[in-house]
Amino acid sequence: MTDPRLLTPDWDPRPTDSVRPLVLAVLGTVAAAIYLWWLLRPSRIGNPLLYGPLVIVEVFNVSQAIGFWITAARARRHRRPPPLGTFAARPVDVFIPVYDEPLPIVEPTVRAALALDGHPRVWILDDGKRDELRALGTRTGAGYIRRPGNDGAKAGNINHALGHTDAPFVAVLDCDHVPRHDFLTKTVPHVTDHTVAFAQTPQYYANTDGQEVAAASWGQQSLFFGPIAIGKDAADAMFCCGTNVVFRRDALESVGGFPTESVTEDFELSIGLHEQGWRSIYVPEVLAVGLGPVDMAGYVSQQLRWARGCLSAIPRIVRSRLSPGRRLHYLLSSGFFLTGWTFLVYMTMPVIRLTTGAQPIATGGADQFLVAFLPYFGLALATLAAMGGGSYGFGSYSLLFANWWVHVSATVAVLRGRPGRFVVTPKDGAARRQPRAVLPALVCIAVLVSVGAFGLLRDRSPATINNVAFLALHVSVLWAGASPALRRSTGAASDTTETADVERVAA
Amino acid sequence: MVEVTTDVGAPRLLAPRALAAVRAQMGVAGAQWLSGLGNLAFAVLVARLLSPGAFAGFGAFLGAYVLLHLPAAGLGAGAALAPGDDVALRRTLLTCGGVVGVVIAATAPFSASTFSVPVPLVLTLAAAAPGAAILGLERGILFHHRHRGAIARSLLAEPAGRLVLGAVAASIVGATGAAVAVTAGGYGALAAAHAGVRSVPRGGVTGAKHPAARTATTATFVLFAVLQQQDLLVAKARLGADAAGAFAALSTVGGAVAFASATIPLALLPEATRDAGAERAALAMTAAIGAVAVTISAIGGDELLSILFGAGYEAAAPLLAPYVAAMGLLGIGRVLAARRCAHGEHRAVIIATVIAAVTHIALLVLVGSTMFALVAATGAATATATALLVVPSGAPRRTWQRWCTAIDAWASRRDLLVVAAMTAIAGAVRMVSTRGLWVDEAITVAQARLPFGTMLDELQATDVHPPLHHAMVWVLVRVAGTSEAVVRSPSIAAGALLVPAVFGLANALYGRRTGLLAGAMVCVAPFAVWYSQEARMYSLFMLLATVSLWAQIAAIRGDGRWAWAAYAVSTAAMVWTQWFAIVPIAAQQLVFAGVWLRRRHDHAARRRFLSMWAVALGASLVLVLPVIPLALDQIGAYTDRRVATTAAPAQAGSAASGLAGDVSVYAVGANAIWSVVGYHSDRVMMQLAALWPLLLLAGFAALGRGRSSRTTALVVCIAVPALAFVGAGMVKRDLFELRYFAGAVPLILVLVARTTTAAFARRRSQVLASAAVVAVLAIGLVDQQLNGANPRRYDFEGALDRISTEAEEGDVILYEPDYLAEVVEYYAPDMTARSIDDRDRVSPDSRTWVLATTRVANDESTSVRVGDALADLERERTVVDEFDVPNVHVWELRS
Repeated sequence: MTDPRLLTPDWDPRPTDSVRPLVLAVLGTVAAAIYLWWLLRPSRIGNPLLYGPLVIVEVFNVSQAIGFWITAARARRHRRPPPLGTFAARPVDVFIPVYDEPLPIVEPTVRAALALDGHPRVWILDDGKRDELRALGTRTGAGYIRRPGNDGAKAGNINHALGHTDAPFVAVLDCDHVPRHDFLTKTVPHVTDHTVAFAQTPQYYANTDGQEVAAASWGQQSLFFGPIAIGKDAADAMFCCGTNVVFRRDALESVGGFPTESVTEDFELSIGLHEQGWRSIYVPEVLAVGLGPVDMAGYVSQQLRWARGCLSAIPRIVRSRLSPGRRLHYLLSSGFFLTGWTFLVYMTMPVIRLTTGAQPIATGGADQFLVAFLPYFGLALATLAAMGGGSYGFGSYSLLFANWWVHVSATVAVLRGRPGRFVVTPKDGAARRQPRAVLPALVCIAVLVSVGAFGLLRDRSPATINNVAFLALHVSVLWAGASPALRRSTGAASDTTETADVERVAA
Repeated sequence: MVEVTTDVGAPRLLAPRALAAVRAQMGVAGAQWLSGLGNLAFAVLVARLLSPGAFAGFGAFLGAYVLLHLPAAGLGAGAALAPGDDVALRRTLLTCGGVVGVVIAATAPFSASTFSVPVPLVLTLAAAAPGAAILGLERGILFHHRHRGAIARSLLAEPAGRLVLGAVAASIVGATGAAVAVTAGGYGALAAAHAGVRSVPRGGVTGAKHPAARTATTATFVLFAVLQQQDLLVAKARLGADAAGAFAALSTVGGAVAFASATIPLALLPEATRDAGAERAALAMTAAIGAVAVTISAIGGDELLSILFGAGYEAAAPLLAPYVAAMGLLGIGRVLAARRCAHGEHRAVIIATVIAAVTHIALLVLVGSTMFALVAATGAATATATALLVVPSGAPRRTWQRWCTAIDAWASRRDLLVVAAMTAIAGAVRMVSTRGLWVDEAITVAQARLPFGTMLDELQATDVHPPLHHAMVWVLVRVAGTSEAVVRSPSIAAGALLVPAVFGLANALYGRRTGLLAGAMVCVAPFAVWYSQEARMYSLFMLLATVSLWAQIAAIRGDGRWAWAAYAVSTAAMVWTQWFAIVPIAAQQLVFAGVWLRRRHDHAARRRFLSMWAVALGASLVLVLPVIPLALDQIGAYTDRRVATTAAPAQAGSAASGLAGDVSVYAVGANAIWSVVGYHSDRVMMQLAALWPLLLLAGFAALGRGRSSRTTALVVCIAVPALAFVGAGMVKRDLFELRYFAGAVPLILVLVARTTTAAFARRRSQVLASAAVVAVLAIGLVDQQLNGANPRRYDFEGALDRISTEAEEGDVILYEPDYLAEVVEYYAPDMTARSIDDRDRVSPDSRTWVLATTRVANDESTSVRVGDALADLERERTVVDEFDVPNVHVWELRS
């Protein structure tokens, strides 16, 4: 079977319509304001203990939504690519950090990196200390760097390599991301500008056919690398995503290389660079093709790492010397990993209503609520549909919803001050079912179904049916998100990944 | 160098050769028309000379004389095409005619007493017999040799002889003298024709190449003569005396129209193979004669019948134009038959005319109990003949093959079988578990019982709907009566046909799986079933809305002109069915506009698309134009009259949705629920409305699926009417009612079907989800149809059946509100029924039944009237019984 990374991607994030995002942003913001105006009236307060959390999560969601709308509205701006200039004559160090990834995953990346246009100097940064990778380097002509220890994980690996190389530009490619031949010619010209620290490109997943988790995960990625990243770029607030990126060496050196104390070293690095006045560029074109997590354990471990890293960066962002606009963008990105709390609150409300009769909102019929809520909800979905370009679907949303506990767990871990570990996202997947990876979702389903049955047995009034309908909504979304873990992964290459990854990272 | 020029000038209506052919035809036709006028003058003269009794006897003679000459028409046609051995044939015909004459003479005393006519009249008829057939032969020969002068002389000789001899003979000898003049005129015409034949050079008379052609042509034209006359015979046998007389008047005028074009096919027969212009000229002339006659009949039918036949024939006036049109079609059919006989297509022509004649007699026998049915049967038969004759040989087979190919490209045979089975199931579902007539339906029936013109006046003054559905019910009522099954049959048929239409639309949009699921959903879709069981226009509206969108999709996909034509016709029919159709049609124009904008990069395709769109829209507008005056009149009448809000029919779910009040989210939600799962009790509606969070799930499920232009088009065609009606409802509350935008409901079902099939990638999940959706609809259907708490289910039939069973002579029904008059009249036609306002007119001794809708009885603002009436009645009577049926309450009072 052909490696999907070698196929031409059919995703183009560049916006084709400049008016629609703006219209949606204006309408959506107005609708969100109307909804909040309706919700925050004192007469709405039912049970204060429930109303308070509901208001908090709604205000959080509305702020995230407005942030998304505003960011997406800016995505209409196009950046004109700079002239090629003389960069072609200058060498670029291409780093391919490797830990324990299988050779068949790494080799295509190395070979494609060697075939890049320009003057690439390809380096395999082997933290796995494997002789087969050394042999690969010898066989293909790529450089090979092995360090004595593994301190700082990926960040430490790159920093070590920086000390052994000297090209003015440094490209970083995860070992599963196969670059296109024009990767350098389309990115390096941007960083020839002395004020630009790095040029980031999309992290595209090629293994979405028949792999539910990878496809849903790509849906989430596409939203970020589509309108959000382009909008952040317009605000000069795009952060580095760790792969498919080209740096100026002097920029990296100005901040002492990658920070090694964070599990999201790329995010922290970007804050540092932006603080020092460097600019960043996002090139909205797929120039390298990679693999997404193919099973639930892989997805969970990746999300846990991102959530921990981004949430732990919030104090740093708040304290930073970033401009208000950039700070807001960083906060929006970090704050996204609190979304799981909102799902928890949403699931809890009907459970409490059916078991105790208490409800957060006191007055106003459902018709009033719907008049206030539906336009906001509809416009939010319309924006997702329009801006997601068809990639962000129900599977992506339900995967996020079903893994609500990842955000909760990460928040708790950050609050407890427990450092995370860098764990490589598995690329080959498990062939067996992974119920433990979605155990919290399954428990939720059991609870919600039980409470719903209890409510219906007690009475079948419209109010009860309404709350049971909410439970049915949550159960449906939870099931849709969790069920891929209960099926054998058709795209698994081997059976090497342990569900223990989840526990390792969460610990 | 050779220069080639091509005549690409503008097309002309008739080419020069055709104009020459018209001139040639006109010579003979003019003589024919003069002959007709002469005969008419003779009939008027004789009517003035004879006593009414004698004239009746003469009329009987004239009828028999025409019957005797029936074969002459066929013989003339046969001879016009191929004279054959005229000498031998003449001898044979003379012998046959002589035998017929002898038989008539021999039986004269018997037949004279049977038909109450003088014996000399019968003997005169016997004398006419030998010459009857030969006259046809001689004229046919003259037509064959294009001896138009002799033909004209023969045609004119007949009325001339009648008038010259008749004036004297009738005044002296009476009816027998007039009959002798007729016979003499016939022989005079024969002599003139024979003289003409003798002037033809010898050898020219023979030479028939195709004896079979002559025989077939003769048979064909005899069949046409039968087709023209047999309805009169059935009318005499099955209608009452007055109606039969009125139909005879129709037949006379229609016969004159057929007579006026009778010579045209005979003149065409020898020309057709060598002059295409002759064909066009013959068709144009015949069509023109028919069109003029229909126009005169439509504009001045009353006056024409009054002038020709005097008073007492008014009942026939509305049917004059249709009958004349039927005779016009018969004339066109004869021309087509002549053309095809001349080209040797005898077999096809014989088959076509036999089918038409058999169809005619079958219809006459089966449904010919009214004058309308007879006219309809004749119209159907002549239209059948014309349609069959216009189809070229081999065309049916080629068309069938083309259809098969097109159908194969559209859907597999297995799918078609499934759709056919689903259509049958849908029909069965709509025919079982029906309910009694609702008020609006009873009004429809009452309107359909009126004469057509009066019904249109009624629609204009008191209704708010266009006339297509009313016209269909009007026709059905005349043909098959006013039973529930009959008056609802258009809706049932439309409801069943909605299955293939929805399948076609969904298949065109999304493929067979969605098509099959949508079809299955329509089988049991509660809303679709409900209106398929109502003698109103909503079922037809749904069908036409679906067909029009299907045609639109086909047109956009470039499926050819037929798609644009289908779109134009179906949209026009939609407007003829329901005025609010303009809203979905407007939405469809938005879709067209969107498509046009998207094709901006292909200028040629864009221009082509725009021109086809404009033509289709223009055609649709032209088809709608005739009904616009009615719309304007209805708007004026609607604005003028005051509508009592309490008289408005109840809305289901009013308690749950606040529908009695302003348009609200709940009102919109209730309509959305009705559109998918049907009408239910208030309790069920509240429970269903409480399920709204599942809509959020639908919203999430739709994420990432909204980029299909097909779905966008479908959503536009649903959302635009919905928004329009929400807006209209805010201005005028009674306009916000789901049935007025019923056309969107099948589209909603298609969207639900698409959502279901697209939501799951795995086949098994798709099947399970589809089954679940159909099951939900089926449960909704059962509850809608059987739950007595359904606020839309009024069991007037049950209540009035019970009253009728228990009632005795003199018992009275008082009803409230007033709009129940028609439904009471429908179910209790033999009982005295009055509004409760007329309770003072009811005798105190009579047993009285008070019937009111539960809504009226329970509503605070209207129950006072019922209470007052009961209190009044109870002064002299006592309530002895009360009973309820769904949404109807009945009190029984006795003195």
